[in-house]
Amino acid sequence: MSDAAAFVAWLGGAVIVLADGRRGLAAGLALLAAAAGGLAWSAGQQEGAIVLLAGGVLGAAIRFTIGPEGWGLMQPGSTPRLLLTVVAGVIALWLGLAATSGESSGFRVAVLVALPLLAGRALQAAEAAVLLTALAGLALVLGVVSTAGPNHVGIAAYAVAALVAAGASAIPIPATPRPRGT
Amino acid sequence: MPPVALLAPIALPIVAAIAAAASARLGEGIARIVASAGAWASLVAIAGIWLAVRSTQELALGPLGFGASFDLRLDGVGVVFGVIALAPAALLLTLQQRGWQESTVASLAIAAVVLAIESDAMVLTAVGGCTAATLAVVQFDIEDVRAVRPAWASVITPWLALAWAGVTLQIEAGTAVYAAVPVSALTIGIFALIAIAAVLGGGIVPWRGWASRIWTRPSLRAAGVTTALLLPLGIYLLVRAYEIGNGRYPQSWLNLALAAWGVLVALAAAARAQAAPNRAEYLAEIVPGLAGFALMAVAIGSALGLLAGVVLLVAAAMLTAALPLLPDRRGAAVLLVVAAAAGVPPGLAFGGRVLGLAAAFETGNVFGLVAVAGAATWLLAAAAAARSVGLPPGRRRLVPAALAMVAAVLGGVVIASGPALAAIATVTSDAIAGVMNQPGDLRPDPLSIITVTAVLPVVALFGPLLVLGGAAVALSKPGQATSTTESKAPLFAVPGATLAATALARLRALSMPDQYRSLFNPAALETVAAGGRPMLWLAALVALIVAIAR
Amino acid sequence: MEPELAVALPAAGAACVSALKPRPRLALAAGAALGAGGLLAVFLSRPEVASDQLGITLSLSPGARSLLIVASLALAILVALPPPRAERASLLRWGLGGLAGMTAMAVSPNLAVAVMALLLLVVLQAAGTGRRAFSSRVRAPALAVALLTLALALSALTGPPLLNRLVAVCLVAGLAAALGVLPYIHEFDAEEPTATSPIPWLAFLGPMIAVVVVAHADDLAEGAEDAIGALLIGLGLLNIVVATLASWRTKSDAAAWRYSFIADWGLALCGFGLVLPEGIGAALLVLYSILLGRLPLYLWSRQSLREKAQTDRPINFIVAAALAGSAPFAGFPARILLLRAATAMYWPLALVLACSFLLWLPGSLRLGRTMGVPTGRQLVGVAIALTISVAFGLFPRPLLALAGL
Repeated sequence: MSDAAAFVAWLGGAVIVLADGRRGLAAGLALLAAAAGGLAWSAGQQEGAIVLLAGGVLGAAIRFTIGPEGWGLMQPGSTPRLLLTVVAGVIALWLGLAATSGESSGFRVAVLVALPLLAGRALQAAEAAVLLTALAGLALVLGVVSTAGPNHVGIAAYAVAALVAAGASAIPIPATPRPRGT
Repeated sequence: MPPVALLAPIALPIVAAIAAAASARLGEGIARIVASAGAWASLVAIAGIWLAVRSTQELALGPLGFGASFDLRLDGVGVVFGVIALAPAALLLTLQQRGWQESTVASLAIAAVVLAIESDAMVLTAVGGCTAATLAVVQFDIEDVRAVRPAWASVITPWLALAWAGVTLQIEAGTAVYAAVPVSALTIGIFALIAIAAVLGGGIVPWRGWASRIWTRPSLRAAGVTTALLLPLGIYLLVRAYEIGNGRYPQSWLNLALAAWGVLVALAAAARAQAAPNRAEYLAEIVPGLAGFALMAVAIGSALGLLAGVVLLVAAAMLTAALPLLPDRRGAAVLLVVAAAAGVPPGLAFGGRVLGLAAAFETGNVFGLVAVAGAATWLLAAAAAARSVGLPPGRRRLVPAALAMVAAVLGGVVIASGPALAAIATVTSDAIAGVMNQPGDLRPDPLSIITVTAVLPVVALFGPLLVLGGAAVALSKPGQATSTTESKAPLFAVPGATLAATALARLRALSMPDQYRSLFNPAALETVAAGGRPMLWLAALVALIVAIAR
Repeated sequence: MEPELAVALPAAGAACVSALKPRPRLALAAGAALGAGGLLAVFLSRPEVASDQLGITLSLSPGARSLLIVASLALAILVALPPPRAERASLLRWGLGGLAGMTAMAVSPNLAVAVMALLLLVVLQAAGTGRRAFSSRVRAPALAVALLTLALALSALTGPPLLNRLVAVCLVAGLAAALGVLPYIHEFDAEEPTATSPIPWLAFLGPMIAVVVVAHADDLAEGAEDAIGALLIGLGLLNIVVATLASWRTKSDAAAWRYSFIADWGLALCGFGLVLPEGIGAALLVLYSILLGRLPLYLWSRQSLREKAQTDRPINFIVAAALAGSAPFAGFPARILLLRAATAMYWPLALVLACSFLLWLPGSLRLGRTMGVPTGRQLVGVAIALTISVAFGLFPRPLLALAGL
C-alpha cells in the first residue's frame, strides 16, 4: 500500500506543480491527502489516516471554491515545471530505494518526492492560491513525517496537520493595498 | 567599618547623577552642585574607608551571571588610584559650568571608574572601564557633537581586550580575581591583552591619539573629566598585573618593551609639542607626555619605578584639572602650569621623572638606555615648554579670572610639592608593597626616599630649591602680558613626518576606480542578497551542503 | 493543564480582540486579561512537569519558558506605550497571536508538531494585509517549513553518514530561512506595517523558533552535532560581518534597523553553535535584548524614520550605546559570555568575535540618531527599555537562572 501511496504522492505533488487553477490545485491536494492517508494507514495509524485524509479533502474542497478559475494544468510556459516533476521523481526514487533505508520504501520515496515538489512550487509561485495549496500539502507531509520521529505523538499530530492543511486552504486571499501605520 | 561601605563610593555618584537629572528643572547650577557633591562624597568615602581600617576591605555580593561576581575590594592600590582619578574629576565638576546632562553623565562615569577600581576581578573591571569609556564618548557628543572626539571603537577596544583576558584567566586558572590568580596563569598572551587594554584605555600611544586630540576641542569640559578618569585607569591595569604576577610580569622583556613604549609616547608628545603652531596645541601634549613617562616608570618593574609612576600620575592629575581652567592670554597661570608640566625643579613632575630615571638606571642593563632616552625626551619637552611661552593662544575661550587663579594655584602646588615626595612615598609604600611583593625595596621615611641601593634626601635637596625658586619669583618683575599672533618655527622637523602624513592622506583618499565599480557595487550586492530570490536561496543551500559534505 | 492554557489563552485573546474590533476598549481589556492569564499559565508551568490533558504530552523547557515571559513583557510594554500612529488593539492582536504560536511551538513534544505550529503562523501572518506581494511574504517562511520537514524526514531514514550532515544542513538552513537571516534574507519594505513585515520573524517569533530547533537538533542529527555547530558559527559570523556593515552603509534607515536585527542574530547563532552553557547563555541574552531592547526601540523610531528625522541629542547616543552592546547595557555580558565560550572552544574564534564586536558601533550610532527626539510616552518607553537593558547588562543572572542556566 505504501508503494502505491508513494506514486499517488508524486502524482499529487506533480499536479500541484503543474496546475494554476483552483480545480487542478484542489485535485492535487486531494491526491496528496490520499497518499498521506495511505502512508499513515500502512504505518498502522488507521485513525490518523482518516484524520489526515479528512483534513486534506476538506482543504481540497475549500480550494475548489477559492482561487483562479479552471484547472489551469500545464499552461504555456510550464515545461520547466514538468521537468521538475520528472527529475524530482527520479531522484526521489534513487534516494529512497538505493541510498537510504529505514521506514518503508513507500514512505521514503513519497516524502522525498513530495517535499521538493511542494517547496519548489512555493518558491516559484506568485499566485496566493497556489502558495496556500503548497503550504497545505506541506502540512500533510509534516503529518506523515511526524509519525516517523523518535517522539511521535499519535493521532494528535495528525489532527494538527489536518487542521493546518484545512486552515491554510481556508485563509482568504488578502489584497495588497498600501496601508499606513506601524 | 562594615564591608557594605565599599558600595558607597560607587553608589554616591550614581545617586548624585539621579539627583542631578531630577533637579534639572531647578537650574543647571543645582545639577552641577549635586553632581560635584557626589564626586567629592565618593572621594571622601574612599579615603574614609581606608583611613578607618588601614587595611584591605572586601565585600562579596555574589555572581552576576556572566562569569563575574559583584565582589569589591579596596586595598592600598585602589585607594591611591581612586584618589588620583576622583580628585581632578571632582574639582572640574565643581568649577566648570556644565549642563545637567553633562553633569549626570560625568557622575555616572565617575561611578563606573570607581567600580572598575574597586572590583576585585578583571571582568568586572572591564565592565566598569567600558561603561566609563562609553559615557566619555556620550559626554563629548553632548558637549559638542561636531568637535573632534575619540573614535568609539578606540575606547571600547581596550575593555574588550581586558574582558577577553579576564575570561581566559577564568578558563585557564579558574579565577580572574587579582589576588587569587596563580602566578603561572599570567602568560605572555594574557599579559599582552592587559597591556593593550592599559595603553589604549589610557590613551598612552605615540601617535596623535584621542588623549591628545581632545584637548584641541573648543570646549574642555568633557576632555578634562575624561582624561582624569581614563588615564589612571589604564596605568592601574599594569599595576594590577604586578599583583597577579607576584611583583613581576611574565617575562622581563615585557617590562622593557612597555618602558620603551612609554618613552616613545613621551618622545612623540614632546616632538609634537616643540612643533606646535599655537599654545593650545602645545598644551594638548602635556598630559600625553606625562602619561608616557608614568608608563615608563611603572613598567620598569621596581618599587621605586612604581612610586615614580604614581608621582607622575599625581602631577598629571593636577595638571589635568588645571588645563581646562587656563585662560587664552599669557600670564602667571599659563606660565606656572607649563613650568610644572615641563618638570621645573623641585616640582612633582621633576621629582617623578628623576625617580623614574633613577629606577631605570638602578635596574641596569638595557633599561639604562631607556633612561638615557627618557632624559633626552625630558630635555626636548623642556625646550618645547620654553618655546610655548611665545606662541599665539590658538583658541578663543572665555575663562573667568577666578578659574585662572585656580589653575595657577594648581600649577604652583605641583611645583611646590616636590619636597613632599618622601611623604607621598610613605603614604603609598603600603600600596606599592602590596603589589610588588619586594619587602624592603622602598622603606617609609617622611624626609627621604630610601631604596635598597640609594637614599634620596628629598626634603634636604628639594626644600632649598623651592626656597630659591620662591625668592627668584618674588624678586622678579613680570612685564605686561602680551599676546602674540605669529607662530614660531619648530625646533626641528620630525624626520619622515611629512612622508607619513602624505601616505596617510593617500590611504584615506583611496577609493574604488570607476572602471571597477560595476564589479563591486555594494548597493547591487545588497539588492541581490536581500531581494528574496529563490534561486539564490537554493544556491546557498547547495553551497552549505557542499561545505558540510567535505 | 498549564501548557494547554498557556497556548489557548493568548490564542483566545487574539481571537477576542479580532472579534471585538468595533469596540476597541473592550477588545483591549479582554485581550489583556486573556494575555495576562496566558502569562500566568506560563509562570505556573514548571519546566520539569509535563501535562497530558489532550492526549498529547506538553511541557515547557526552561529556556523556552524564559523567552515566553520576556516576549510577554515586551508585548506588555509595547501595548502600554504604543508607538505613534499604532493601535493598541492591533498590537495586542498580533502579539497575542504570535505568543500563542510561540507557546505552541515551545510546548510541542517533537519538532514536527512545532513546525506545524510554525506553518500555522506563516499562514496567519500571510493573511494580514501587507505592502509586499503575498508570495514575497510567504516564500521564505515556506522554505523554512519545507527544509525543517525535510530534516525531519531525513532523520527518520538510515543511510550513509552524509545523511546526518544533510539533516544538519536542513535544520540550520531552515532556521535561517525562518528567521530571515543570511543567506535567506526576506524581502523588506520600509513602509510595510511591522506585523506583516519580516521584523516579527527576526524580533518576536524568531527567538522561540531558534530555541525549539536548537533544542531538537541534537536528537535529529545524531552524530552530526559538530556539523550543526560549525554551520551555526559560520552563518553567525557571516551575518555579523555583512549585517553590521550593511546596517552602517545601506541607504534606508529602516533597512539599517532590519540589518541590525540580523547582526544580533549573528551573535545568537554563534552562541548556539558554541554549544557550551556560556554560549547558550550568550545567545539567550542576545535574544532577550532583541525582545526587550531592539524591537521596542525600532517600533518607537518608526515615526521619526517616516519623517526622516536625525538628531544628536544625549538620548540618541545612549540608545546607540545600548544598540551597540556596549557596557553597561545587556549586549555586553552576552559578548563576554560569547568570548568565554569561544575561548574555551578555540581561541582564534574568540579573536574574530572580539574584532567583530567593533563592527556594531558605526551602525548603532546611525540607528541612535534615527530615534529622533522621543517625547511623551515614547520617551517613557525608551527610558524603560534602557533601564531594563542596564539592569540586565549588570545583573543578567535572574534571566539566565530563569532559563535554567
